[in-house]
Amino acid sequence: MVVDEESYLVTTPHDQLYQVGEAIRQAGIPIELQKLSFIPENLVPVQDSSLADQVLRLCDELEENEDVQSVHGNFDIAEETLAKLAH
Amino acid sequence: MAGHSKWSKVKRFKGAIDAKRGKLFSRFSKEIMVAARMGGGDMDLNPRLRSAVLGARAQNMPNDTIDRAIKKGTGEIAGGIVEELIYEGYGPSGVALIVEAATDNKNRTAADIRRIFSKNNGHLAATGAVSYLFKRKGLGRR
Repeated sequence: MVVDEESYLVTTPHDQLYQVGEAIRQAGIPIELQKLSFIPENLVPVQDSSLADQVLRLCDELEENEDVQSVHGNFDIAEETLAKLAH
Repeated sequence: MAGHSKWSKVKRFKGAIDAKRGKLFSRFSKEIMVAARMGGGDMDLNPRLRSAVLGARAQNMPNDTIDRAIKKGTGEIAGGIVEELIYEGYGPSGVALIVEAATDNKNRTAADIRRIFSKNNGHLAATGAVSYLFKRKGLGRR
């Protein structure tokens, strides 16, 4: 389980997603999102900010596509690089 | 896991709120259609459908829109058959990407996705090219 400022992210074995979801709901905790996902085994760091920008643009454009439900990647972009891109 | 939460942080940084709002309903509709087509229109018997409908309701999707999606999925209303597909490819810097799609027109979608990859310094790869780099897991977020 991962906790950040706004949410809890829980992973389950892929065949237990719905049972775990039901158990959490029964405990009174609302679930905003529940789906099967692809979690990378290893992360590929992308340090160069212009490459990072390209990776993010690719993901953005894929996600914009009418038929795309979700995009999963194994990239890891550091906070500092993200901060540069935001400006 | 770190890559995952960093990616969602990027969305906040760029001011884009999770799944671009306009697409949100159509994404849920498709997920509902796929779930209903695969496991029937009864939420009690179809956990994937139940999960999709609860998610749609949590985003304030109108009930009649939800019902229409279920009926399109089961075939009760004509709506085109929505199929799930998974595409795999490489992005810049050798990153691996998996794209889940739901479409009623496989040829159009394949062409679009191929074009998006190429245009952005990546390339679409064959099934199996990168999926072994990922684990299939259930994911829930509160």
